[in-house]
Amino acid sequence: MPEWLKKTLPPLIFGLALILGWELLTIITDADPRIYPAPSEVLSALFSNLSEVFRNAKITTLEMVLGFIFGATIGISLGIILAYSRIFRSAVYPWLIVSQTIPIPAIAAVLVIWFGFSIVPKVLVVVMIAFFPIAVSTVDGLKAVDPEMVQLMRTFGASKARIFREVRIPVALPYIFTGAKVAAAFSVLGAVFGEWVGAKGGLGYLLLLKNRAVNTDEVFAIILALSILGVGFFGLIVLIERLTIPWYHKARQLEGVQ
Amino acid sequence: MEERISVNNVSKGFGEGEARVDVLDGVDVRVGRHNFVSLLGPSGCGKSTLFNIISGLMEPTEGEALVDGSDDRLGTCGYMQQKDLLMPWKKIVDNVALGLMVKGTPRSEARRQADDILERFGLGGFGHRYASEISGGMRQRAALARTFLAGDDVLLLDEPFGALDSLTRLQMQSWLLDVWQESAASILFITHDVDEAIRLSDRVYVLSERPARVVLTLEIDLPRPRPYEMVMTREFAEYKAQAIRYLHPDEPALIDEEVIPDA
Ligand SMILES: Nc1ncnc2c1ncn2[C@@H]1O[C@H](COP(=O)(O)OP(=O)(O)OP(=O)(O)O)[C@@H](O)[C@H]1O
Ligand SMILES: [Mg+2]
Repeated sequence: MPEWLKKTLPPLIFGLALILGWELLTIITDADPRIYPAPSEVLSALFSNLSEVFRNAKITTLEMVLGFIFGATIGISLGIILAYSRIFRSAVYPWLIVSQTIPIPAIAAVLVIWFGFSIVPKVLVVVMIAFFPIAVSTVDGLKAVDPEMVQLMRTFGASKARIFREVRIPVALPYIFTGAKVAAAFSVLGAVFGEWVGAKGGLGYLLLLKNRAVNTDEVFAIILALSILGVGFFGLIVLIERLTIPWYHKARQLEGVQ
Repeated sequence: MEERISVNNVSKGFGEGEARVDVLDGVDVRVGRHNFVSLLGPSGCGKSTLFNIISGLMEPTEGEALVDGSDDRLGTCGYMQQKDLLMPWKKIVDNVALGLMVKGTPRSEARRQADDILERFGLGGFGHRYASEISGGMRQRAALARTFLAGDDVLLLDEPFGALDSLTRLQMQSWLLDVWQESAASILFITHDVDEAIRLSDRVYVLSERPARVVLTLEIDLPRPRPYEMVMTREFAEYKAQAIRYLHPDEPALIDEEVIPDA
């Protein structure tokens, strides 16, 4: 059996079994499809609302991607400053952690008061969720450098900027990508929260509408669309990671073999 | 003879007051043009510290270290530290070219020279692999290649073969001697291994326990080339007996005085 099949087969079978069990359960219990829809009904709801779901998914995707890009930029910059300035680190780091204990929906509500129903509050919520794991992993990554590697560069007569570019950044990249993957997975959540407190479009907004109308099959269809969005975004980051740091995966594969 | 490396009465201590640790105590070391010189000393005595000073990474507390008569040392020596320190994110050829590139050689020219030296070091065809994809012995040779390219023929090698099995180690010694003979390099070499030091060197400095002092300077007058079988000759054994006596001054003499008449 090829390696990729060995990896994808177990989760696929497990997922299919779950869906099949669910389908059977709704048949056996003769459940009310308006409250407990079967997977087949969810799928058909998705396909019959495809254009509506698609239109709103585009809005959510834009919020998510914009928020992620800004969040990653802020996270990496902040991480670099935190790693290099001890004063800044001791002054700011504790507050960063405090900022993560604030419930996001509460902030989102205030953002709507400030910025209205525009895209801004949604993007800001995603930024707030995404920057933190990236900032933390950037700090860790920049500190993970082998000091002897830095010494080696110094014996070549290398400048600090050169050492940063050729040694610190490459060492930090795998860490930064780990943070980025966490951030990507949570970005969907941020966008949906942002839409819940006030929006005129987006999958989160659509979800609320369908929920109020008690169209449970359509609610599940949207949940399905959201998770496809999340997994897709996560997969995109993994792909970028593979292309950016191929050496890292080669080394890890070899370690796996030993 | 012109000295390429001269270490004059160098002392080094770390820390202040109670926590102060003296590591080097008035060390004198000289390496002439195209000389192969070894430092032989117990673990933790301060050998790597001396290299850090010669390479310019550190300054001595007392005394002076000069490379080609100059005090401005950073960037002049090729320094191979105890670990191979190949960067896993660079292909082997770019690792080897790194020193040249940092010193301003254009990338294509640096790569060409790196390819050349890889070929000479028996690593032709491996330049486009990552460090994780080659064997330990190859990594060591790649690190040596980088050191040869980066240093202006002044090389500091800190236990380059320390991590290798004894068989590979012997092969690498012969290989290093060949490479050195064909080059213009002056080498200062750290090892724990008495045989290795004597076989490779024109001169061996034996260091004491920390703080390190030079307790014995051996001029090795053995003919070159030096095949491995040479370790079994009487002359070799005499050098070895002297080195061991100074390395382990507290051990009772293991070797019969009769065998070594004038040790
Ligand atoms: N930067 C430093 N700060 C404080 N102490 C240090 C520093 N560098 C080395 N030392 C101390 O100096 C002593 C000598 O270290 P060094 O690495 O030079 O020994 P060595 O002879 O190379 O040992 P080995 O054979 O194990 O490599 C050790 O006790 C070490 O703890
Ligand atoms: Mg050492």
